[in-house]
Formats: sequence, structure tokens, C-alpha cells
Amino acid sequence: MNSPPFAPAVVLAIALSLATSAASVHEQEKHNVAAMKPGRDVAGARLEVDPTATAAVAVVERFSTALAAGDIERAVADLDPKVLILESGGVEKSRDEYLANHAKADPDFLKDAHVTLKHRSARASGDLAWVASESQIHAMKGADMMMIDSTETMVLRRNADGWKIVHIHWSSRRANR
Amino acid sequence: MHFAKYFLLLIVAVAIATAAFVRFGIYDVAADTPHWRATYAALATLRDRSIAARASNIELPDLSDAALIREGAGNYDSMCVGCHLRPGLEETELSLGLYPRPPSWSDLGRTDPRDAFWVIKHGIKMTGMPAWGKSMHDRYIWGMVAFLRRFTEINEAQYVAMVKASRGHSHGGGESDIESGDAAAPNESRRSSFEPVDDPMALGGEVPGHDSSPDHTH
Repeated sequence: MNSPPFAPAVVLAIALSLATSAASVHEQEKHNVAAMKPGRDVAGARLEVDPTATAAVAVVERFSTALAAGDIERAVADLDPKVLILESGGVEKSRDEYLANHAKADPDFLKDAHVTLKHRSARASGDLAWVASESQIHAMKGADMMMIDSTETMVLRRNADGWKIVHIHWSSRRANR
Repeated sequence: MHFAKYFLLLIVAVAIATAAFVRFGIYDVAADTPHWRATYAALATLRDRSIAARASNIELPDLSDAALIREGAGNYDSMCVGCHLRPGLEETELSLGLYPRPPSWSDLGRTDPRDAFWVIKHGIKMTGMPAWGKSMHDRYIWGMVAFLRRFTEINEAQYVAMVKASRGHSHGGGESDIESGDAAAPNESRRSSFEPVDDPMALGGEVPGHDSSPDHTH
């Protein structure tokens, strides 16, 4: 029994249609507002951490986790009193200045956001360490969901109390979709 | 004949006295010197009757529309709180200093929606109430009216949740983010360090950005 001459075309069309709808479903799931759960996901990150910087990375992670949890007291305990914070052209020149400005807006924003750490590299030399991180953030602004590519550089200095963050540079842009 | 003569003299005398009253600055325009009670009552009646006469035939849209209320919440919070306050905010520098005192949010919740629409759109002379209709389409003004009506039933937490669910200060163009008088919320600290600033030229618009002005201190 011979197949009609257009059968391969029909099969191909159906296959393409299924593949397209599957991709569409995936895309909807990925950007589904209701499915977005606040939290911090570091498990899938690509890490290039020098063993000498492991303790400094732990401090960075502790700071980020506390900030997202709204535990400002614990978060700023990891900041040096003279920390220099740069973000999108803005400057805060001390821990107190950060507390007076972004320390409220940052946890407010992060508590409803999902942060996925994508890549992190860290090195240390003597009492200085630097940790560079790339993350993707899903967050709500009003009724809209934003996807943000966020980069972060932290410089830490070791003193008698352990590693303290002496510099942060945050930079964000809307993610390419 | 004598009566007409005296009446004419009286009119001339009143006119001269009025001109002198104005010319020599006898009237105190200071906002911290209240009107006499009778003057205040007369002006309030003048205002109320003027508004009622002009607003009575305005046709109401569906003010229970959830999207309209949500839109109104963001615009009210950005544009009105400095004078009319909100649940949980007792006073601002602006609300304290204005005379006549602007009605508080709780009073606005009981205002006739037609009157509220007319006043928001056209403003009121010599009260500090601007004519928002010069920068807002009627649709957005109705959003604020729809939100005002919820004031009789919401508390502070519900107010905050409604504002948070809105798009903030957004009425289709013409928005500016000059301080509303709510000293508790300076623009810069509203934006998180993690939020992108998409367009530096738009700072001060819908995406609050860096404030180049000196710190607000006194």
C-alpha cells in the first residue's frame, strides 16, 4: 500500500507544530508570574572559586541571603563600616549611608524576587579577596514581571573579625529575552 | 431725590473704601492667619455650590472596575498623599501648611464621585488644588475617583497592598515626580540597588532614579 505523496509533509508539519507548542508551554512556564517563587538558587551556578577565597565567598553568600531575608542587622554585620557601594551611577560611602538609603528598598525588592546565581569567580591574595557574581533575577514591578541580568563585584578584606566586605559594585539591566 | 443722591454717595464711598482696602494691603493673605468664621463659611458655600452646579450632570463610569481602582491607587499615592494623606500617615509638611486645610483621605472617601471628578479635573482657585485635567486624561481621573471610594473600607495594610499592585505613577504621559511632601519616602530610596535604570534620561519619571538635588534637610 503506497502512502499519499503529501504524507511526509503532513508528518513534518505535525512534528513542527508539537515542537513549537511544547516550546511555547516551556516559555509560558518560565515566565509564569504565579509559578515564580521568591528565593535564592545557587545550586546550578558555575563556580570558579580559588580555595583561598572560600571563606570570603561564604561571607558574600551569607550577606546576600540575609539581605534577601530582610535581616538587615545580620547583612550589614558583614559590611566594613567604611564600605564603598556603587550601583547604577549611585554611590554610598559607608555602612551607615547604605542603611539610610538602599537598605530598605533592597530587601523589599528581593523578598519577592527569585535570584538564580549563574556564575561566580573568586580569588584571594593575602588579606584581600574579590568575588564576582552573575545572576538572573525574576522580580515583580507592579503587575509586571521583570527579568534582570545582575552583576556584582565584592571586595573583602580580612581583619581580626574575619572577612569584611569593603566594596560592592552592583549593576543591572533588563535581560534579553 | 435726596434718597438717590445719598445712595449714589454711599456707592462711591464703598468703592473708595474697597479700593483703599486693596491698595494699602490691609487684607492679610497669610495662610497661617485664618479667615473670620463668617468669611470661611461664605467661601465654603460658594465653593460647594459652584462645584455642585457644574458636576451634577457628569455621567459616572463603572467605578467598581478592579483595573480602574488599581490604576487609581498608584496615581493617588504618587500625586495626592502629600496633601490628602493616606491611612497611617497623620501629616506632611505640605498638609500642615496649606490653608484652607485640604480634606483628608477619610473625607475624600465620602465625597460624591461626580464632585470628586470635577475637582480633580478642574482644581479649585486659591486653595492649592491643581487642575490635574491639564496633564491627565479623564480615564485616569476616574481611576482616582474609583480608588477614593475604597477609603471607607480599607486600612493601612490594604492601602499599601493596593498601591504595590499598581503601576505606580502612571497616567499615559506627562508624569513628573516632584516631591509630594511625603518626607518618609524620598525618591532614590524607593528603587532597589538591583533594579535596572533603563533610560537615564527618564530619571524622575515612572522609574525613580538618582536625585541630583541636595539632601532635604532643615
